[in-house]
Amino acid sequence: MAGTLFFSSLMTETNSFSNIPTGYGDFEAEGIKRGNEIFYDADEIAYQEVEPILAFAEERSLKPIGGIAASAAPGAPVQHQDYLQLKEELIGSLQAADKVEAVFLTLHGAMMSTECDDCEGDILKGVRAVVGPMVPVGVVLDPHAHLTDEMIRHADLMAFMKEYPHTDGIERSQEILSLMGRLLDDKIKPIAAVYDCHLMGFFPTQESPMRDFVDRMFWAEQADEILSISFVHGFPWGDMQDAGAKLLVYSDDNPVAGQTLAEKLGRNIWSIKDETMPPLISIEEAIEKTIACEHGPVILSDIADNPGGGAPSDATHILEAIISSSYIEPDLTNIAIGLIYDPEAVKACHKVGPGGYLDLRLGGKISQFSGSPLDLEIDVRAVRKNARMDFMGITDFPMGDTAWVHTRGIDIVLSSVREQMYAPSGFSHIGIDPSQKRALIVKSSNHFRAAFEEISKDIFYVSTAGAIDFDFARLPYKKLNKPFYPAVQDPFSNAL
Amino acid sequence: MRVFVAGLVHESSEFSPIPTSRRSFKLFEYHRPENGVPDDTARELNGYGTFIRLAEKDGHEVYASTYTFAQPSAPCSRSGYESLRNEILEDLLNNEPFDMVFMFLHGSQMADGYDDCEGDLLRRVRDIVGPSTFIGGELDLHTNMTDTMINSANVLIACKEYPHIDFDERAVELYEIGFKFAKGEIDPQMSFERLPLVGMYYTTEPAMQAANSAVRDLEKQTNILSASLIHGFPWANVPHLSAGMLVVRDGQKQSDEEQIKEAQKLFFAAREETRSIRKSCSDILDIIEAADDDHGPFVIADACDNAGGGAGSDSTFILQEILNRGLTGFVVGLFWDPIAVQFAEDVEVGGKLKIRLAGKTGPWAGAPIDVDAKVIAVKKEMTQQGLGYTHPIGTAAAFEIDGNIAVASTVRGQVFNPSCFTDLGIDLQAACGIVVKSSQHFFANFAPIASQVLYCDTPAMMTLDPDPSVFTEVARPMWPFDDVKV
Repeated sequence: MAGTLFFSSLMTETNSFSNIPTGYGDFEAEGIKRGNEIFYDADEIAYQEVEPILAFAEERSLKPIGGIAASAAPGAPVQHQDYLQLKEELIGSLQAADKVEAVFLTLHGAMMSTECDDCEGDILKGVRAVVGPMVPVGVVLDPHAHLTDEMIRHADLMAFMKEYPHTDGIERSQEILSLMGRLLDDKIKPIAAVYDCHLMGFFPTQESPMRDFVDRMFWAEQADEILSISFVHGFPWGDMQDAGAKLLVYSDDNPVAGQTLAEKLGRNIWSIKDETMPPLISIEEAIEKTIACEHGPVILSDIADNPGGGAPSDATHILEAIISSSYIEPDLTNIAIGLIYDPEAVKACHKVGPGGYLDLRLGGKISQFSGSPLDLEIDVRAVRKNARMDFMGITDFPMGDTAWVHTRGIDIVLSSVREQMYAPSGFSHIGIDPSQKRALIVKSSNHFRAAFEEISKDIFYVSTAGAIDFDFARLPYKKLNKPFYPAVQDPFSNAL
Repeated sequence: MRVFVAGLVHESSEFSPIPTSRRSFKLFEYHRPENGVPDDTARELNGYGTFIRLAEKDGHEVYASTYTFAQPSAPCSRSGYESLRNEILEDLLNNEPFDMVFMFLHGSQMADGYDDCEGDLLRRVRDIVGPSTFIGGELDLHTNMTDTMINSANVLIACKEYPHIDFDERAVELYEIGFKFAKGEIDPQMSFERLPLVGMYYTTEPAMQAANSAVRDLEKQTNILSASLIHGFPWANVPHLSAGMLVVRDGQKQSDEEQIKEAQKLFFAAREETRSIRKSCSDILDIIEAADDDHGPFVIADACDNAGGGAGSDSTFILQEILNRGLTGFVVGLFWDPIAVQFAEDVEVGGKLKIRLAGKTGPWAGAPIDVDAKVIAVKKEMTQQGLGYTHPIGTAAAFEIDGNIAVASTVRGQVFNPSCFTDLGIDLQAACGIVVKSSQHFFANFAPIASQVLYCDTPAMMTLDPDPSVFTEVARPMWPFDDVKV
């Protein structure tokens, strides 16, 4: 009987400071896939993101076996019993598979449960216990991860996506699978080297100096002895001892070369650490830029309320300021904001239907970081059921039932699923043309850039109160013990 | 004989933050016997089921059309109301002729484009069946009566009790009158005497008990077939908003008009009674704090935030005051807050979380409360018994907050029954105070366990001190906005 290639995926990004509990239901809400449905849709067409896996399997004459594919919106640590249940499904399906010759996983890297700080390490340990030391285990992860010794010990190869926004999942999969092929043929001996940058930061990769750094990683991978390089951005809102930015280099049986390169690139990151984060503007400045806008739209990123980081996506600080200012600023009009997570408001809009009017209490409901709910006179412009947000033709994201409401020149898109605004389709799916707006307020820290830049390059990051605090020195860590910048100016100092 | 039975019930509050659609009815209570053939479920439904059972007992052929009812909320969408109305009218048209039509209605139903749904429905029924068929309508006493209703139906009878525990008894009366009409034995004539009052009147209180007693005595007159006190429904800005008395006489025969006027006077004299027993939250908490240590639980009606009148059932005024004062031992419910329940399910029993609770439906709800809570119970598919119905609660979660317990549910509904709390393992006898979001329907089941029942007035939707400037369509003079004499 032919050998098998086992694939599973289990992902969520855990924000230790979030109030939004995460349970099994949150994974179900995004749709848990099992077995063959991981690879093929209802029309038996393969999903784009798994094509590299299927291609590799075919090339190696392996039968692809799907275990479980599950993800949940970022929130507080996963309820431990629910984490165990998901892990059991993954490990159980691996145990049930015959003649596993290789294991490929896509994990997140920053998943925590209420009792386990390093779920990826725990999962990889479980996988290794089933397959033994000789079966290659390759993993692709999100760069917003906590790189731990446990992960390094149990995986053969890990690649963390190089791009943020993460547009390179397919390429990283191809890369790891190709390396796994060479490992299966005994052609390489991957050895991991890690450099800890002692740094909490935010590193979008579209602009220099991060763009240059990413190019540098690709260039350095061309060396024969270097198999793979990853810059682990870290996820500052995960409170665990291994949090923080790190460099990971896999060498081909050349630990000195690996360690040297890891340190060199790590120091490189250190030298640009103050230039990677885009400048933040206040709400007042955001309003000024909106008024001054001549050929828009101005795009305002509501970074503190990004559900992609575990925020509620219903904070009202910016919207409230715009509405109050609109009474004295006539040009503060033709603005769109989304996605505001408010399932009950969406239901009310569906009931009255397009053309209906409502006195609606909107937003500010999910947590203490949400600001105050707003009482607005709105008209319902459109409603959609089971809406999906297309992302650049690559994939799409669920928004649940949605509604477009209008008040005082402002268009608001409400969703029933807590999801960040990845793409203009978050507005256009329901009839709003975002390119015609004076300003767009998007509840996303960075993932919106790839698709929204096609509309406008006037992008600003707005600082507000909210669930995701970008002042890393202020974050109330309990478990992170090592010194890090910016809490400490020189965390490498021997005096510490 | 051939009998047609249907039910379409919705108390529509123009102040309610909760929109209504056809789906609201389908999700709450909707029964449509196949081909109009009565089934066991139909025979048990309030009022409507009584018409069916009595008609079957008398050997009549019964067509049982739609029976549906939605939780009180804002006026229904046009298409929602019309689709429900039309399915009843089509059944009538496709299966006539009928000798008797019995409709179980509300009396203050509204929709987009319709200030008077009962009048609209009854008029169309009359257009279909013609002048010699009996049309009887059973109403909730919270009716805003119109001439169209009176002119279209032969007989309308409202329940007499608030809490409404007598729908089946009134249905029996309506059926008997209808059958006599169909046999040609009587000639019912209705008259409605308007009493310009806006308010609520609990019939468990002494002055209203006297008024009801006088009305029962009236009905003993041989020529009075039925008499109903119509309380009116305050939360509608319509010209026909009013209380009054509905009398059904047999033909033009003489009746004792003096006795009728006396009954009206007693009702008018009772107009302040319910409003005057309501106290402010501050006064109520003072009373409880001053009470002896070994008192049993006080039951406090959060009467202005009653889902049964269309309110959002998520106002935070009382809970906020309890927390501000640092009081403990209170149980408060049911807050309509599906997100809070979802979070409780996620963290599971024993889990702790910082939660933003309630205060989400609109200005009548006050502000949401941010608290540290511990989940002490979660239960799915909960129901409660009240007024002869089984009411859905959905999933409920109990949160311990600073020594008090707050219960939230995924379905918006008032508290009828202590089981809302005891089914979650909450010990009500040990509570210092139990705050229930209900105006009056809690009374039957809670009075026996209460050391005292107190009615609380808060700035929520069903305040009995509404702002007169909101009632632009209402005919004046109108009590309590103006001085009125009767």
